[in-house]
Amino acid sequence: MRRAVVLLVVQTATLLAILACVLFLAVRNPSRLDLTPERSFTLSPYTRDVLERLKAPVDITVFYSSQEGAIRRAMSDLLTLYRDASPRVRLHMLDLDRSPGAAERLGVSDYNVAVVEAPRESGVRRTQIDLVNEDNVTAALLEVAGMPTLTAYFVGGHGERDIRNTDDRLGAGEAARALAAEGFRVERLTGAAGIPADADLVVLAGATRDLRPPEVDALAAWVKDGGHLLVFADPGTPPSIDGLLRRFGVELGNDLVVDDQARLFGTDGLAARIAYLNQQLVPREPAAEALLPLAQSLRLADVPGMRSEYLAVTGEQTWADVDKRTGGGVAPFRPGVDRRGPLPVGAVVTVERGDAPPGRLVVLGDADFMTNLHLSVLGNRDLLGLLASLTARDELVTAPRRRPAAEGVFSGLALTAREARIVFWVAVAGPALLFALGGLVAVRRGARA
Amino acid sequence: MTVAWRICRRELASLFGGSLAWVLAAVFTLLCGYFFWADLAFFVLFGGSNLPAGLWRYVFLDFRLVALLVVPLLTMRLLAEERKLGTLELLWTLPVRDRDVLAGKFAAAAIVYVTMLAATLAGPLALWSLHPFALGPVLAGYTGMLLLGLAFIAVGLAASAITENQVVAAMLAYGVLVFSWFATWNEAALPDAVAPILVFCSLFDRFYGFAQGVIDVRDVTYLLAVTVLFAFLAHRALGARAWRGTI
Repeated sequence: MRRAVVLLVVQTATLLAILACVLFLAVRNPSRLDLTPERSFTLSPYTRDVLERLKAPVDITVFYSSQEGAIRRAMSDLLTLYRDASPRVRLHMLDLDRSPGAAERLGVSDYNVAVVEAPRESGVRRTQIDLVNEDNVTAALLEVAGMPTLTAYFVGGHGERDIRNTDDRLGAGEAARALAAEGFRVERLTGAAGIPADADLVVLAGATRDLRPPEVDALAAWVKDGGHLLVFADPGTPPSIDGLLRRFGVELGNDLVVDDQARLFGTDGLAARIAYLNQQLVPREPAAEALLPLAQSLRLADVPGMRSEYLAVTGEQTWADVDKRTGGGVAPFRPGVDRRGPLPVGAVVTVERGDAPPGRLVVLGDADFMTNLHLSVLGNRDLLGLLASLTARDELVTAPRRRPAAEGVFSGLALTAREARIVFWVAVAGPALLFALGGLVAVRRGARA
Repeated sequence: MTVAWRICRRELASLFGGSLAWVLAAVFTLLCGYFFWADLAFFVLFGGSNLPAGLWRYVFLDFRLVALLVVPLLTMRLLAEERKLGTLELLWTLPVRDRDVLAGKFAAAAIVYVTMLAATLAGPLALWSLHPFALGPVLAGYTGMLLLGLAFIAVGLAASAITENQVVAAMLAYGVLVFSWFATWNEAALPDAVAPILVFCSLFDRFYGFAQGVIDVRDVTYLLAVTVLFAFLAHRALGARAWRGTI
């Protein structure tokens, strides 16, 4: 008897040890199949790219509430993806109520807050995330990993795309959120005559009214003093902005790019895809081409002390409607009048300043690609992040960003009353009745037997 | 035909010859169907636009509870009744190994469970025929339900192997499964060193990924490991007669 008990204990312990080893191997080699249509539980290539840039361990400490299990689980699920993707990420999940010391050390007093820390030469760099989602965590990692937050000012007051506006076609609120996820602190600047001292990037996005001469002078002087200016210029851009760009050797075509060959179903053939990016400036091609709804071409002219390069070019099948006849539908190409593609639609101008950091101007011949309606189309979100980084940073992350999940309270599933009845009878009543009937038959047979 | 398969067929005939399997299947499908329909109604009105997060997650978390309710009732009689009626002793006089008995009983319970689970597909299929949707999350959810059900059956089988009282067997299985569920409800009550281990070991926490549309090798491994562990314990419980001197 005693020998049998010992044998049982040994056998059970052996099996437990084997199962523990198998589990350990599974935990050490995490692999998952994300079957959600939007790959909601898979990190975006952009985040993975950022994680690959981590050179030192990063600690992510989350303070959760033990009473809010669903939120804790969502945060844990997300941050576990980061930990699994990079051995440099260390994750600490702490109950705020039970960890007052750690909370005080990290300056946290609210539930569901994360703190990202990384050692730097000047001490530990630390940033707090109040809303734990992939955009914010990746932006925090970018910051602590050596790409500090930059301040981007969107100029307003001349009909530009407004970062506060949530309107689909006019607003650029989504663009502001996308840039925030890239490590930019986005602010609005009324008028461009006085550029704040903390500006790392100034964006002039689709102005429809002229800038005053002092504003043009201020922007030009700012770039020449080492500032970073990003200009999105739709066809029909006001002359003052055209004049500003000419000072840097960028001439707007004031035409309309037609891309009928690559037209998407439901579009009018004017939306042009960016087929090529300058590989010297962008070594790694983005995964998806950007789509510019209404774009104009541009040309570069030599200006002493400045180095200019084309950045983005449309495909060979595109052409430039030089007098913009195609507003109401695509007109035929006119040989000798219209210009054949590929057409340059983006350019970078670097203002040399000797040993001082150079000024930089990046121009794109389209502004409506960054509206709330168009930002999630194809590679537009990636293009915005790429242009902002190219203008204000020296380092580029070109991997695709996560597309925001569709929002809204009401579902896209419109079930009619008749359909709901069908589902009810098939799902609820049908199988149960069948099994109940089977049970009755079995019981009656049993009774007869 | 192997011995285990013969035992499985005999068990299936016994289960479906009486009312138990039919009643359990009817209750299982009725509850699952109702939860599916209610979750669908909620999703259509307020669920947002994300079908996996707004519908399937809730559907499979509800199915999980129905499985918790029904599976111990399915497994309680597997060995306990044989032991009570004395047919287990009769079985031992035949050239039948314990593992054949267990494999046959386990397979029979698994077939009944899979049949019940397959019947719950009627709702998603009806919805798909009306409004086609991405099938990936549904596949993940049913994979999780299958693995979770096998683990439940193994727990139930082990409970049924150590007693001749069916109610006691069911309660033992409920005890293990419900503890696995409740243990992580209030982590604040757990010591820091224990909480992460219990969270990892909770059958229900390991199911959560499947409900969200993700098949994680860690979850699959854990659920299979639990199944193997309890199947082994059931095997040892059957083998205990040798050192108790029963035979």
